[in-house]
Amino acid sequence: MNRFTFINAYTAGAALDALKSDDAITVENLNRKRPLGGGSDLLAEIKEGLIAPDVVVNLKGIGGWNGITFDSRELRIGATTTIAEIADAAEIHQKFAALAQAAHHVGSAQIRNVATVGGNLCQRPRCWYFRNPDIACLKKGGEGCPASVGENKYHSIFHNDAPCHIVSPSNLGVALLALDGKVNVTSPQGDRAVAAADFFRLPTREDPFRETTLRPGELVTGLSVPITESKSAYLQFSEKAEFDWALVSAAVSLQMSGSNITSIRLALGAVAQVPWRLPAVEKYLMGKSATDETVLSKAADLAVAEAQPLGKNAYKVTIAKTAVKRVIRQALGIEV
Amino acid sequence: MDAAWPKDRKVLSTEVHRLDAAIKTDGRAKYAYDIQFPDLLYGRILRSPHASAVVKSVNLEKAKALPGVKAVALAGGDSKNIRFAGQEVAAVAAISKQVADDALKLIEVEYEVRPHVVNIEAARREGAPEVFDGFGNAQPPKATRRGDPEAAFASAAAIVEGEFRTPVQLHTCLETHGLTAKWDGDELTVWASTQGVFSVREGLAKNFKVPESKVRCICEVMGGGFGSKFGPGVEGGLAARLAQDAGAPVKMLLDRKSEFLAVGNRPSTIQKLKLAADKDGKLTAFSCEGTGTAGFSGGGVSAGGGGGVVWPAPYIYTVPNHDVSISGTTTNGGAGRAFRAPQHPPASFGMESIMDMLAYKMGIDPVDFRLRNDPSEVRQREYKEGAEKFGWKDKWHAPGSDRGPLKRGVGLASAAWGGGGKGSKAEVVINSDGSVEVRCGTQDLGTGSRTVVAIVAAETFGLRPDQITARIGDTNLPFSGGSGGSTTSASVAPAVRVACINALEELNKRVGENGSWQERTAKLGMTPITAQGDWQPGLSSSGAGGVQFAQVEVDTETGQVRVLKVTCIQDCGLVVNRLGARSQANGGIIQGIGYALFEERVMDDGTGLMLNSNFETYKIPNIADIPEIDVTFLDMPERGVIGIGEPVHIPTAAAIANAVFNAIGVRVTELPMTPARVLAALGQAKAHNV
Repeated sequence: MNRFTFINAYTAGAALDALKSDDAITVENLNRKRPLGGGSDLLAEIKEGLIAPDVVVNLKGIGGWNGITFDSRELRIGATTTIAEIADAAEIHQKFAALAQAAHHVGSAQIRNVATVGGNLCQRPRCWYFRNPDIACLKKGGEGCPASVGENKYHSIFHNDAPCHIVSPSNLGVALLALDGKVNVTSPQGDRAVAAADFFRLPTREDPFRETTLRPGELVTGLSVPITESKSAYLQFSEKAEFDWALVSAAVSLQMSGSNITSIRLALGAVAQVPWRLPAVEKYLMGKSATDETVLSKAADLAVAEAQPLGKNAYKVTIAKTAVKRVIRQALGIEV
Repeated sequence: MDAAWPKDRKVLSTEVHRLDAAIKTDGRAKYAYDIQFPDLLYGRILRSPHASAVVKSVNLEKAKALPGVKAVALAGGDSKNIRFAGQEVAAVAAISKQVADDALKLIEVEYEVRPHVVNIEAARREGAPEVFDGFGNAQPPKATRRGDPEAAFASAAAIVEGEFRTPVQLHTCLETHGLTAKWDGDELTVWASTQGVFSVREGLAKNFKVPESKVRCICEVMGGGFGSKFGPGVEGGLAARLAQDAGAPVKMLLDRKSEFLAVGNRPSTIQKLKLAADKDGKLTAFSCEGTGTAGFSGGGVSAGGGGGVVWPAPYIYTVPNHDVSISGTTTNGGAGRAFRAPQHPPASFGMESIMDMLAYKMGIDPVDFRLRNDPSEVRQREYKEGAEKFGWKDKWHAPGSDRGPLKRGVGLASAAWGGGGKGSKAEVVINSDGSVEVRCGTQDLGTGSRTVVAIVAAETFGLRPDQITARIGDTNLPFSGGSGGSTTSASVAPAVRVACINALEELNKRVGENGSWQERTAKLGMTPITAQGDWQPGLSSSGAGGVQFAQVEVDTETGQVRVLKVTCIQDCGLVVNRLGARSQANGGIIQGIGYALFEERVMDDGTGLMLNSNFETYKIPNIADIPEIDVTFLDMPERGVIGIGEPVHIPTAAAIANAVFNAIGVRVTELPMTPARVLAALGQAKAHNV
């Protein structure tokens, strides 16, 4: 671990001041000053030798950034709220099941007790090439993506024309996309609320460095989810029964009239560089019976119609289809 | 007095809690890492980031000049030639781990990077880079032949063929390798995490060209070795050198990444098998053409040996005609080492898979098929009793016949292991206050050996185990060998028994046989009783079998395999500690579940680096993956003590694989059986050599 200046910020303004940075999108600018939430990702990045920040700013002392609140319109969760607090909140289980279930699947009990909402949304990818300090890749300012022809069983199955094949590791991001949530951001220019779909970004050749649209020096202050009559669910399939990353996850939020779907938002996780919404499937399912096996099978096929698996991850296409069917059943309380 | 085991046992064969359970759970137990001295230094090792390279130069000057650095050293031996990523290049000792890490960054190494090859197929290809110049990567085959296999295949009633693959498995000791080294003049003391205090002493004495009598190795408690911790290792040698140069004790315990890269593994296998039987279902012919990789080496003296590729085939079966040829493949990977029943789990997976294929092909119940072909009388009993306990007849169904996406299935497999006792010595002291000390230079690999020592003494003296002070884990104690090969209990228990019997004889002679223990020992006055004992034949034996049955549930839409139940029937001779033996079986089975479903070293062809050198992506079971485990020991006290640490691990993965076949009706021929491989077997996803 390198030496760095550690700053405890007690106000949003102080945190922004401490993190003030050159706005240019470079690996250096993105990593010279880093905010600290639970540290479950940041400390690992530092200890593994992936980054060597000059300044680390602790956000956990900022007043008003921790906690879960409701009003008549929306649920708000502060950036430094722990994942465990979400997973344990009865009201979130009742009204935003997808979010609670996504939180429940994060890491282990120990990780959920320290990891935060802001950190979960902003965590760096788990790609084993990215995580190995002895391997260069586009994301770290090097050339090429070794996963494109290498060991890619955990990598993306969509949007593989992109120059980088990571998958977004954020469980909450998948749930947030299905629940039409927003990420609240603060910057020296002011505050803004960003739709989940606009918060996560696909890598480009010019900028493969960021997984979110946050610019250097900007911070997530929390998330918000509109209160609706929808039922929702999140599930994930992993190699191990617990304490493992998703091979594929899925989240859905839907409303029904009898057995027919009247509104639906559906997203897959761990299949692309961002939480992956399925608009064609949503469109297809509108007005159809959610209990009709033929309908669900067609939806599953549609979900992966544009999949472009890499050399070693075609199996994830199969799991993605299963995830689509089962997450809808789960939301409606139907057994596998 | 006769040292024979008593027929009527009060302590032996009962359930006894580990004597050191409390201190291990509340943190009082002192592991190698817990040893502290006021002037203690921290050692760290610089490792090669290249899989194949020549070290042209190493400049240690800047590291040496860093304040807080007390010693620097080059790795010894053949460290000029880098043959795997993670190989030791240099080491430093400093006043803190942070300073030592900073110093590593100041070491300048000039590498001439050479082409590497990390995977078997690539290594055996024409024109592949040679790991050792002038020596092909394909090692000379080890071949055995019996009868006339060609003729036997030609006249067989049924033949099956298959190719089976097992991964490189890592030991994943929860306590990493290493030791703390301290010199006092020309005498060296090390506190090591080891399964062989005497072999560590021997290794260090040779390394430093000092008499063994000047080296002492202590290991009070340790956190797992599984065959990888017999010697001091490169890290232990470096620690002692740095300590010598610095004139201060050095603690050198590896970090997790180093642990994954450089301190051993179970070699992989690729097994092309063919098996035939006559119309009665009796095996007639077998052939095996195989390879595998133990990285750049099959393990050396410092590793304890035993880490080669070659596996026993046709394993537990006797096939009158067979042709076996196995050729190891050298690759730029960390060296193999002995690992819990070296190469038996892959042998069991290959052989029991093809046995199952033949049974199903011939329409013979898999249990019945083994009864027809397994020559072991003990296992014949175990098949029958195991099938009964497991409920084989009720649980078995035609392969893949469950409706719906979740399909259940059952399978079985079996083990054979030698083990046996040898050469241990023990000493017993009975004091006039009635206290008893038993001294034996074995060590507790985590199997409960300390408690074994106390149980035998308690039984012999008519005391409770907690009344015995068991001293182990120190080369200043009477000799006992390394804890490997399931030999520890069979070596230690007889030596302790003989020493205790000798002590009891002297006690009887001096104070008579009447009165309580306290009354009699009180008469000893100023002179305690000290008696020695050597291991002697008749109190232990070798040759364990063991059969395991598994039930699984497979999700055919995700490829996930969940183990629901494992039933283990294990012969164990005279059970010393029923609780400890059951813990061994539980641990062996859990490790077998890891081998079956999760564990696999992933090497990157492009960079030559290991990609999953952490517990995040090198996956081992945790509590949610562990099924109901039902263990039964066949009590055979007449055979004496038999170790079972290894046989209980051997058949688990094969039994699970056979259960997966029974569940889904297609065979997964490669471990671990990940969702990717299960879906590929089901034809749900393109088959990839992942």
